[in-house]
Amino acid sequence: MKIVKHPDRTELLKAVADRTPTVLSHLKSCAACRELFELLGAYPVAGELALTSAPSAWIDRAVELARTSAPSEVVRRLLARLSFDSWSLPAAVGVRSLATETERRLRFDTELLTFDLRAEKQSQGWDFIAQVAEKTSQASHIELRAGRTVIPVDGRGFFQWSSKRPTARLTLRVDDMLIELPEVTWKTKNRT
Amino acid sequence: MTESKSTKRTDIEIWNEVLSGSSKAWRELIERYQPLVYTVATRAGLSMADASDCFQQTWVLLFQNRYKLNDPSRLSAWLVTTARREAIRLGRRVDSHSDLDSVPEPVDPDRLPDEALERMRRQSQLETGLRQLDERCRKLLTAIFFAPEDRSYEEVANMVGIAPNSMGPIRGRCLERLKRILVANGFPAVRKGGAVSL
Repeated sequence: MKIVKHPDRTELLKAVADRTPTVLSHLKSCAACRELFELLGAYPVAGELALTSAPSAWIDRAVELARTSAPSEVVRRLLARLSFDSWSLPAAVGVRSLATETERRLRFDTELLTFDLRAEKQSQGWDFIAQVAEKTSQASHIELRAGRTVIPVDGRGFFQWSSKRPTARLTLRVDDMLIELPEVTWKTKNRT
Repeated sequence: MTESKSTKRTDIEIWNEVLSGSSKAWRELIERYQPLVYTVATRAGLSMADASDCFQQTWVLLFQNRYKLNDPSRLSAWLVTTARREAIRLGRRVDSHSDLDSVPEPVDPDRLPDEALERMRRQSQLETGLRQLDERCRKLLTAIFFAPEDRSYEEVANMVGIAPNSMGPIRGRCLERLKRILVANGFPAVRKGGAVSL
């Protein structure tokens, strides 16, 4: 059996710096050495002393910050206004449209953001999709609550959820600010 | 390597919980990065009392500015920069407010050059990744990376307690795992594909 001589750390570090041909040639056929070579290049800390831990009293004091400062505290409250509701538009004369009762679009505004909500009635309940458009700075954390349920934002920036009954009470948490949306009524009968 | 507690969660996962008000996540974040902040504070040449203030103030500022930090994958860079700024500020304070002969020298920014800070930050990322490995991989890769002197693979195998002829495949698997963790943590120094242009 052929014994393979793998380059040691010193040889790999040297190759990171001067690209030693014999070592580079070995890397072509040795995945583990290639991984190590790449990591040694990316993390040039080989042979360093480990970072040492702070005294536990210092750590405890820093940890206490979150308890004493009540991190979930809301610093500011805002009330959004309803600026658009597709159900408040009069239906076109002579048109009986069920679509208007099975779909609803709402827009809420504050000085900082616009919140668009679209609701679609399904056979078993309602599907919702919502999006926040910020007017000024970018918030680092936005959370939507539909009733008591926290709705996570997906990778495309949408909040999506379904429920048996339409959601009447929505709140947005934007960083340290709570934005309350006016309660939405969902009476679908006798609309004109 | 410091044996501080660490979970397998990424910085972004922990940070999102911090923003939601979780004091548990805040603790986890501090446990992950306290060696880094401590190292910056203590290598700045401050007295222990000032290093303690520097350490504390860095976390206070992170907590106060938590909603302004837009990119949590840059958290370690933010901590390092803030700790250095605080160290320099505390050093100047000593310089300007005291007339005692015995006060420590003000902090020389050259004691914490950008390259040294970047190395500390990389080391912190690597140590965080190593802590997330199983014990055997952690011991093996710690021996390879951080042993003060280079050791042959046979010596490392003996230290970790594995058969020398198993060393190659185990080393490969451990390195692959470490790399996956580093990528998942959002540390951009390693690439996803792993191919090195030779």
